[in-house]
Amino acid sequence: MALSKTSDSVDEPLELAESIINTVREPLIVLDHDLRVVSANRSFYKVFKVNPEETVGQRIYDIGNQQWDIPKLRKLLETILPQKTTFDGYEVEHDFADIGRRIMLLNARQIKRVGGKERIILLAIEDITKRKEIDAGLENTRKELAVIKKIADEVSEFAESIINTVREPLIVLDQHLRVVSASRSFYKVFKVNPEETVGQLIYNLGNQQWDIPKLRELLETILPQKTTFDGYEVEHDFAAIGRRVMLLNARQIKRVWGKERVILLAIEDITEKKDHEREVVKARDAAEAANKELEAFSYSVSHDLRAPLRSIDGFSHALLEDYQDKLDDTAKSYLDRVRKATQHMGRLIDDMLKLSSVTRSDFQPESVDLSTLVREISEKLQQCNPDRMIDAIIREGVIVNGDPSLLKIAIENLLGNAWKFTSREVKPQFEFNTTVKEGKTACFVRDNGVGFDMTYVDKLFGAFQRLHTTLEFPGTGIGLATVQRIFNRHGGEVWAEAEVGKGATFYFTLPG
Amino acid sequence: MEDRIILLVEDNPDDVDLTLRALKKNNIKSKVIIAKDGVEALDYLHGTGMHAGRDTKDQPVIVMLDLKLPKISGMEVLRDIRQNERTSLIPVVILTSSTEKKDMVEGYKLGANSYIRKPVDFEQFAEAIKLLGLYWTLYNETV
Repeated sequence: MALSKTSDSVDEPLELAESIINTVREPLIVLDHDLRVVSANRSFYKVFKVNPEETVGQRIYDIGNQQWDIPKLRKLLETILPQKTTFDGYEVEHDFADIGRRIMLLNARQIKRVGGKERIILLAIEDITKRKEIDAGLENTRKELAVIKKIADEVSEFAESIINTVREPLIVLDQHLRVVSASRSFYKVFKVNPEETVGQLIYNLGNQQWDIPKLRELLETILPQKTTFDGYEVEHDFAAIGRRVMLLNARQIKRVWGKERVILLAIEDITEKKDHEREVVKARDAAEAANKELEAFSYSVSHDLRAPLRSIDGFSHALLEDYQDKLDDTAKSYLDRVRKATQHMGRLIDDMLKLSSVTRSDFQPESVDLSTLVREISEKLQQCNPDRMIDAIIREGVIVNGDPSLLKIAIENLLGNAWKFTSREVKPQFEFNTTVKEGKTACFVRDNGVGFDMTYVDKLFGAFQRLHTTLEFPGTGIGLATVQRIFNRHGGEVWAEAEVGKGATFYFTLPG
Repeated sequence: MEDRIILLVEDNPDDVDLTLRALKKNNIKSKVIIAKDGVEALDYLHGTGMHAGRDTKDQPVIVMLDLKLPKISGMEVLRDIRQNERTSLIPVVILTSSTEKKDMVEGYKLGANSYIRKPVDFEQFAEAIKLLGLYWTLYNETV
C-alpha cells in the first residue's frame, strides 16, 4: 500500500523510504549532517508529543525546549556515529518534560542520501520503558522467589531439626497416613528404625502395633474436621515396649511448596505420669482414710479419756471434802497430788487434741490483721492475769494472708509463752514487730523473759519437748509444736533466737 | 423450786454422781430425773416405755444432755425434742466431754440452748453445774 501511494512521486526512493518510516510503529527520525531534523514519522510525533511544524528543520537538541539535549545522545551522534556509521541498542535514559522518564533503545545509521553526497542520520527510537519495568519486575519477582525458597528451605531444615531435637516423639504423615519422617526420639522410644518406618502406613508399623482404634478415630474422623487436636489420650499395649499411655497432639498442616496436607503427630509418653497420678490418688485416698481414723481416734480420746479423769479428780475431791476429819495430812497431800496429776493429764489431752486439730482443720486463708489479733489476745491475757503488768509494744498495721482461726491459735501460744516466761521479770515486756530476714519480711514476738540455751533450740518445736520443768514454768510442751504446724500449713516458717536470761524472739514468715 | 425438774441424760454413773453432788453442794434442790441413754430420755419426755402413763404436762425446766450415749445418741435426742411440739420449747444444755467443732456446730444447729464442756477439775465442774442449775431452774422463765 505504501508502495502504490508513493509510486508517482518525484523523489521516488526517498518517498518510499518515508512511507516505510511512517508505517513502522517505532519512532524514527531523520537528521541531516548538521543534526537538523529532515523528517520524523508519525509514531515519533505521537510518542514524544510534538508536531511536525516545531520539529522539521530544528536541530535535534532544540526540539521541544531542548528536551532532546541529552548528553548520551550527543555522544552517540557526535562521537560514536562519525566513527562507526552504525550503532545498535544504544540505551538512553532521560526525563522528558512532557512524557516523563523514558528508557530508549537507539539504533542509528549514517547513510548517504540517495542522489547526493551529503550524509544523513537515521535514528530509530525504541521506547523500552515499559519493557524495562516489566523486566525489573520480573527480576524482582525472581529475586523474591529465590529468597522465599531459601527461607522455605531454611524453615523446613529448621523444622526438621526441631523435630529431631525435641524429646517428645514426633512423626510426620502424608495425607494417606504414610510416614514421611519421624524424629530420632520416635525411633528410640518405640524401638523401631527408619528403614521399617518411612513410607509405611502408620497402622502397619511394627507388626500393626500402631493399629489402635482410638488413633484411627483421631486421624480419620477428628482431624479431618478439626485440623488441630491436643491432649488426645490413648492407652495401648505395645508388643515391644509394653503398655503405654500416650498423649497425642495432632496438626494437619499444608506442606511448604505444595497443596498436599501433612499430619504432624506429637506423642507424649505419659505412662509414668499416669502411674504416678494413680499412685497419688491412691496415696490421697489412704491419707484420707488415715485422717478419718485419726479423727475418730481424736474424738474418742477427747471423750473417753477425759471421762475417767473427771471421776478420779471428782472423787478425790469428794474424799478430801467428805472425809477430811478422817484423813491425815499425808493422805490429803497424796490426794492433792492425784488431783494435780489428773488435771495435768487433762491439759495434755486438750493440747494434743489442739495439735491434731491444727493439722486436720479446714484451711481457709484470708487477709488477717495480725496487729489487731495480737492486741486482742494480749488484752485477754491481761484480763486472765490481773495481778500482772506487762509492757506490750505492738506494731500496728501488720496484715498477712492466712487462716484466721489457726493464726489465732499460733499467736495465743506465742504471746502465752511471752507472758509465762517473763513472770519473774521486774519489768516484763513483749514486742510484736516485723523485720527483714534473708530478703523476706518476718514477724516476730520478742520477750525479755528467761530465754533459753540455744544448744537445745532443735528440741524447742518438738511435741512434748520442754526446756523447763513444770515446777519452773507450767506447760505441756505441745504449744510450740502446734505453732510450728500452723506456720508449716501456711507454707511459712517459724524459728527462735534466745539467750539464757536475756529473753527469746520467735520469728515467723507467711508467704504471699 | 422443788417441783422444777432437771432431766439429766448421762450414761456414766460417775458423772451422774458427780453432777448430783455438785447440785447438792450448791443447794439446788430440783428434782433430778436420770436417763441412762437416749431411749430413756425420750420415754420420759413423751411418757412412753418405762415412763408410760407419766403426766407429760410436767416437763423438765432443763435437759442436761450428754452426746455420747448408748442406743440413741444425744444429737438424735435433741433433734427429737425440737421436732415434737410437746417438747420443742424445753431448754437443752449439751454437757459433754467433746469440744469437736463439728459437734458444737451441729448441736447449735439442732437448737441447743448452750454447749458446755465438762471440765476435768471437779471444782470447775461444780461451778459450771452450779451456774447452770441456778440459771435454768431459778432465773430462767420457761414457757
